[in-house]
Amino acid sequence: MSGRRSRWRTILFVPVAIGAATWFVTQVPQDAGVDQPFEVEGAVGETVRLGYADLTVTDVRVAQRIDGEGVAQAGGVFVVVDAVWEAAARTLSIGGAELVDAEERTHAATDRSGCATATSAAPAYGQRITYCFDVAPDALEGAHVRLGRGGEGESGAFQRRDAVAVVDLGLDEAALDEAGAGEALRVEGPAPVVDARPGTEGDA
Amino acid sequence: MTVSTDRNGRGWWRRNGVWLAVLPLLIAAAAAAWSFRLVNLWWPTELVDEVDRADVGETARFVGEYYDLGLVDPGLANTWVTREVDVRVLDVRTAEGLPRSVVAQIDRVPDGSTAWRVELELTAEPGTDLGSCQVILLTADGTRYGERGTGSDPLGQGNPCMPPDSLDSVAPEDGTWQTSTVVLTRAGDTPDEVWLSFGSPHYVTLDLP
Repeated sequence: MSGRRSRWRTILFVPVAIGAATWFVTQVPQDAGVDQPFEVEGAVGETVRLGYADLTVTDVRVAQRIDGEGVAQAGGVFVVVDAVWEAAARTLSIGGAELVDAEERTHAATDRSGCATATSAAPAYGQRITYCFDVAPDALEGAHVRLGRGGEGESGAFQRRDAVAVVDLGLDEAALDEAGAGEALRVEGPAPVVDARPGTEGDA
Repeated sequence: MTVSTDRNGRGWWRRNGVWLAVLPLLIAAAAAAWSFRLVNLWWPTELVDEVDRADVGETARFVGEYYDLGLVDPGLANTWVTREVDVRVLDVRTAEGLPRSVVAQIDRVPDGSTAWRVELELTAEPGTDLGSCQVILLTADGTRYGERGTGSDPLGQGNPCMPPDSLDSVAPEDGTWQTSTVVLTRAGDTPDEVWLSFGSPHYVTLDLP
């Protein structure tokens, strides 16, 4: 008699366990939570701490033409983003840089005219890098950059479960006025920062 | 709690004994099958294999294999070569200035940084390939300073395993020689270990006082 009751308990246990597990799995937001990058938001001038490195976007400019290794004319307009990386605990390669506009269109950084798309960063000093993005003029308003050590790959493969800085550029239509057809904006390749770097001013 | 038995009166543990015994082996086999990514993709790319460790003032012996491309000695092309180097710390002290170099990206000690001069004594069979040498300073929290990464040394220094002004990366005829290299750390950090490596995954550790 007790054997039969035990068998019924086992038979009941299976659907209950499956039901509970199914309920649990559906509660976990897998698409958003399991392999997406950890986004750390910041603004121009703020130091964003990513765990593996600190990032400060120091300046954002807009130009029709840039001049690094020869003058380059933008297809749309260049958004030029100056940033300083400092690694936390070891020398790193920093390879992820893209600009995302208000309509979620992504623009890869360009290497035209000496603009860099990647650099290395060390823990003892800051590393300055200038990213350039050639974007449509209507992409300026509400644009932000996503900067991290992993490249974007086809589907963000190298940023999975890793921190990525999301920095709002604070641009609007008025930025186009300064982009004018004046002198080309001077850009330089990555280099260490020797003077006081962002985030260290005022430190004891 | 009721204990379920089969027709022969055997309990659950008896009926499943064989599978329970096999289970650890199956788990080990599954782990081994999965670990190929760890061994092939991660292990060779990180400094994870401490070949030797030396106390303060003692000599550490680096022994590591590398795949020779024949760039230095064409006779060794496409073979695995064992590199053996003995290393001892002579001195590690803060440095006021930086080495003068026309290819330096950093020409003075950056604000917020400290420069350390690391002097080593190395011993190796003359002709040993010392390419890709790295001298790394470690602090107690595990921060590694001086790794070359993918780029060249921002201080414009040559191979830190070679005597000053040497043009190649091959152990000199003397067999024993001294080197001097400068490594930047954050101001306020004091190194307590030196690592010497010729690329991942092998390195030796030298304790500092």
